[in-house]
Amino acid sequence: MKKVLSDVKNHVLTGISYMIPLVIAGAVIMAISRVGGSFYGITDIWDEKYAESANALIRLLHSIDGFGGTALGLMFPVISAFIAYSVVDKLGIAPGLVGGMLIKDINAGFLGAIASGLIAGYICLWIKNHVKLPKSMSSVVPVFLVPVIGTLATVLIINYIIGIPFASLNVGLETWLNGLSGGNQIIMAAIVGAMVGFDLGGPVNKAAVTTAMALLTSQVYAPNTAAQVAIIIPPIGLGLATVFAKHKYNTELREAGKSAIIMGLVGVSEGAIPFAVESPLKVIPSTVIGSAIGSAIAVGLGAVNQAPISGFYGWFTVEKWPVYVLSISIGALFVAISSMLLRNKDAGKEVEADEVDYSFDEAEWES
Amino acid sequence: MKRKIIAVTACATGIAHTFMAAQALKKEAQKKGYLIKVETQGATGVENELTEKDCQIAEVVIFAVDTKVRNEERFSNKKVLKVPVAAPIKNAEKVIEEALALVDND
Repeated sequence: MKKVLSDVKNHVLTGISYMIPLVIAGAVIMAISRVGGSFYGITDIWDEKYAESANALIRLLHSIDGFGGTALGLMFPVISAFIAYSVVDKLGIAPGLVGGMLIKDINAGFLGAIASGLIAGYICLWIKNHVKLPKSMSSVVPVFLVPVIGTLATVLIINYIIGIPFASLNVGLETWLNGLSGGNQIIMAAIVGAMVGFDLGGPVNKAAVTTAMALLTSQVYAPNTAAQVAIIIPPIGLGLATVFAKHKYNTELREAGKSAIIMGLVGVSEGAIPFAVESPLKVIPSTVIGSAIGSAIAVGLGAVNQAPISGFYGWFTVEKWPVYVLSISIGALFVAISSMLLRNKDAGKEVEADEVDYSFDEAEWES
Repeated sequence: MKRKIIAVTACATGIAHTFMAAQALKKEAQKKGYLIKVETQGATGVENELTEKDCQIAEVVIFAVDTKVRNEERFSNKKVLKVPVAAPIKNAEKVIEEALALVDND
């Protein structure tokens, strides 16, 4: 059972890794159009009436919003297809794509798309492993049976079995998140922040971030705001700690600190990893709490980030951006100060430089 | 003759864990006096790709991956140890010893 769960986790992460570029592309393109629109005082650039605008630039911005939407529309088909691909290789792609498209049409959400990929993948795997035809006809399985039966079975299962529950789950989740207010919304933000700060780009982080991003397509923005704040707090905070308390970090970590600040500013959590690897028990609690604090403040004070962008170039498109930047600063300072205080005085002693050449002679390899 | 290992590393985003795991494996192998070749399947694609020949030469394969290994059929007749990408970053020694144990216990 544990094996099955870890396989499923790998399949889902594979799907997510292929989906992420699409989400980034689509949402950033949309954000460009919306920021552009805001220069003309337009807050609903996606409205059809701007397609007929007298101003060519506004027409262009309206089209660009649509192009971003096209990219985002591929999100569910692609994650579903690549989850299926992870299960059963090339055979899974066609049933996975079709299943994901159906999920999108019936509005069964991100979880539905994950389910669709797993269903498509495991059905095709089952057909591949269990349908035995005489040798002369064995090529019928991959070129005919798997595509046709696999796809048909997938869409039937989605349409008649899982579709409705997942669609209501999705609508329920949206309504619930939209209905959250005050304290509950702050708690939700803190939980999202804590998940993002927990494994810094690992599976828990990805689960929180991608769910938050997927909710953007349903105009639910608070989880995304929380996630985007939380993404950059750990690297910036840990980087600042190496600046504040130079003597407590060795050369290697001070260098890692500089690149962590830069990675943080452009929105990459992973900059914090060298610190988390070096002393996990001290660093991870501080990044979890720091991210949770930052997310809670941002959402609690009403900042709204509609784009899946955490880097500094996205800060000024955020509604109430001063609050947003403030919450990042508070979270990062918490991480910096707490991780500094938790470090031992002599933690900065130098270890041997790590610039070793790991290459070896090809002849030795082949001997 | 030195022990020979090949490994593939991959993570969901493909920019950090993938390469840190590769680094950790190489460092540990060198410390132990083993030879290791590591292919990274990161965001920019496959780097240091393992050839058919590498696959023949190596005794054992380590997959330190959170995602699917691309071109997995290359390793179809090898013993493979599959671990999460974070495992070698935490404890590369354990991962390498477990992998070698797969062939030693035959």
